[in-house]
Amino acid sequence: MKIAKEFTLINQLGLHARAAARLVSLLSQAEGDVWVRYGDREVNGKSILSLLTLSAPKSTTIEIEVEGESSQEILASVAELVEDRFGEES
Amino acid sequence: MPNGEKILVSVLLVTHSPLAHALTEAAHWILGRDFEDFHSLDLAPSGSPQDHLAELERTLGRMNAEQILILTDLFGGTPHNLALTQLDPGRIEVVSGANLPMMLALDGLRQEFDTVAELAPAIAKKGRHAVVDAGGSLKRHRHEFGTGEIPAIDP
Repeated sequence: MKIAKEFTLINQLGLHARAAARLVSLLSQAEGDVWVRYGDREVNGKSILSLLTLSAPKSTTIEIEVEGESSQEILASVAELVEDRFGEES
Repeated sequence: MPNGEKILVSVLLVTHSPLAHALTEAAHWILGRDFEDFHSLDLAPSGSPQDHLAELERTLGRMNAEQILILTDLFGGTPHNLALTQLDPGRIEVVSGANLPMMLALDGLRQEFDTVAELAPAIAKKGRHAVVDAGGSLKRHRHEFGTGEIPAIDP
């Protein structure tokens, strides 16, 4: 199963290092490939260095495509993480 | 070790003090966890080359690993030169120029590559590609697209 979903980054720092690391730890649970898109760029969602090259700041929207049996659950966890501002802001 | 659990190539980071400790701390902070099968060794300016070599050998002995990747900070520097005395192709490989991107990529690459012979060139490549002339990239973007927006970096 392959599912894609869009997320708007609402945390102050956008997709910076610690946020990217937390995102990678979720996306790495996928059985198949994971792609993250921002603008005209598409990178491997299981690689923190690739995610950081996106330089996606606050208020931008990224699209995440997850392949695998648990894609739905993983995207639901990503939604919680983004909504929780990556656990960075109280 | 439980059946089926992957055996990671062990890693030793050896640098001029306090870089090994600092790089490790920074990576832990970003990743939110410690590394497995990972050791770091800061060589103090006060020690002699003989002391440093003994310390390196003791650390490698304690690691007791079948395959070890030694990351050093500077090609030609003392930590690197001492690490080279331990080079044993296929069992102990040495890569210089350790940087934070390499540290962040370490676990992913260790999952991908089972042997230190494959891991060494892969991590060297990651480290090189993560060095970006951000200003130059921005200039090229402005030239191509005519916007002042900060672009995605393409290292």
